[in-house]
Amino acid sequence: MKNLITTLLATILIAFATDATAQSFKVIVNEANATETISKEELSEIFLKTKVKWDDGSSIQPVDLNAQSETREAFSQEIHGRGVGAIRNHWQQAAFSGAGTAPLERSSDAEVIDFVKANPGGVGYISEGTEASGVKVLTIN
Amino acid sequence: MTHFKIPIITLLLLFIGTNISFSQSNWEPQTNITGYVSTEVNYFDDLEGYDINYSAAVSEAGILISYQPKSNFRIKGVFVYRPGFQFDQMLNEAFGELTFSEGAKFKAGRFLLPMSPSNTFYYAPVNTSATLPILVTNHEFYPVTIDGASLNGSFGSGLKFNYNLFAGGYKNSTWLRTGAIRFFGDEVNYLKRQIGSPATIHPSYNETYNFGFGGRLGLSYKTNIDVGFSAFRQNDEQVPILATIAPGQTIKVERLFEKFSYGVNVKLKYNNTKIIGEYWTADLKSDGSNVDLEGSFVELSHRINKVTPYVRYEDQITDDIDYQRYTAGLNYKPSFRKAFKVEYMRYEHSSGDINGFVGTLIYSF
Repeated sequence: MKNLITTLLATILIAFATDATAQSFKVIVNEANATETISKEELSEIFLKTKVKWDDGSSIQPVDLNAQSETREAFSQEIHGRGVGAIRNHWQQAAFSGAGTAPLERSSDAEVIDFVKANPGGVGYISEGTEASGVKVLTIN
Repeated sequence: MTHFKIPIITLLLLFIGTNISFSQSNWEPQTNITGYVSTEVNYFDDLEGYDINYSAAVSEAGILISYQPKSNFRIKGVFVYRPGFQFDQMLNEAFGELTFSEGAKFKAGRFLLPMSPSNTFYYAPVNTSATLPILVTNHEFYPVTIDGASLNGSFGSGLKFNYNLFAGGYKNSTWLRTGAIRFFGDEVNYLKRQIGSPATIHPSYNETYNFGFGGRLGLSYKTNIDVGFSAFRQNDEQVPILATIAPGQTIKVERLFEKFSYGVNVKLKYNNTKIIGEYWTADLKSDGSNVDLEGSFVELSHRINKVTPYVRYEDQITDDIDYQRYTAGLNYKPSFRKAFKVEYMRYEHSSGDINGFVGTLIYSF
């Protein structure tokens, strides 16, 4: 009985641990975009607008989910290494200093997909479980 | 009021009068609104001539609105309430900017002078410390804002060369008093009273206007390194001086000021550790006689999760006043919306040292 409980507890703990570390979002670009893979560092630079051009020279148009989105929080922690609050601080400083403005925001995965479909340079992220029809999913290195 | 009209008219001309048509497919107009309220507590020991040595006040309340209807044109406005400031002094920024390329942007209206990176930390929620450096708040080297035009841009990526050239009119803002007991900005006047200095700038100076031009050249590498050299030349002007002719007796006289200010700034950032510093000096003549004017500061901070401890050293020479200020504090920012700062500061001057405490609570939206 003791072994059964221990095994059950271990299984539950492993399941939660696996769930906590698994990537819970996927990055999407327009289907015409030639990019297939991207690094976390590049993604962070794109969404902080320090990288503004794709390899072919076309303009990158990043789109965030809104600040209350769990997917955005997961993306921010995984890619920027900081939470959404810290990134909002960054953009507030950029706004006051004139250095730049935050990427556009959308309220849902569907709106992000629509944006990326409509913009050749578009890049966004959606929940892992959302169907990414009509857009290309990038592999994150 | 005349100078308040200049940025408005300039903005209208830019918005309505230009026939330049830029278009980028699928560009979505962007509006950004952000703001904050900062409440401050001050305590200073033994301030002679002050009715109170501790108080609390809303030290700043600011709102920023920017609108970018096209990818290469934006309008920005920043209004910051500060106690005792006139409306004109609270309108910090109101300008339009046309981007021809990353290397060439044209801005017209009212804007913070790009003389130092202070505009990256001039506003309370984006300033690590609870107070601004003296050479920024006391406006002895250059005014806080200017109504005019600027040509600016940068070249390179990663390693960048930046430039910003500007000219315009401004309202003098030397020694504008801020803080819960209005001591910040009053340091030089206070210390002059302590030593019985024969002359100081008359308060009516901040009702006068002048014209100036200047620029900044800088080199930066990502967000890790930024160095720059800045210079500002203002028209020679008659400055009202409060001169002491006998104990308890003062008169107002005018003296011709000729001033050329220049300075350097450095920022180094590695992971969560940042050090910033500036040094400014001025070739200042009053009726042909040299006047000492020099200021510098260096600030070190290190972010540990949501807490950032910091220390700052400042050295100022203004005419016959030579003083230093030491500051140490903590910035705690648990979320985007809230920030707390507590700070101890100490002024050192031959007339006696002053200890002070500053606490701020900032709400952002």
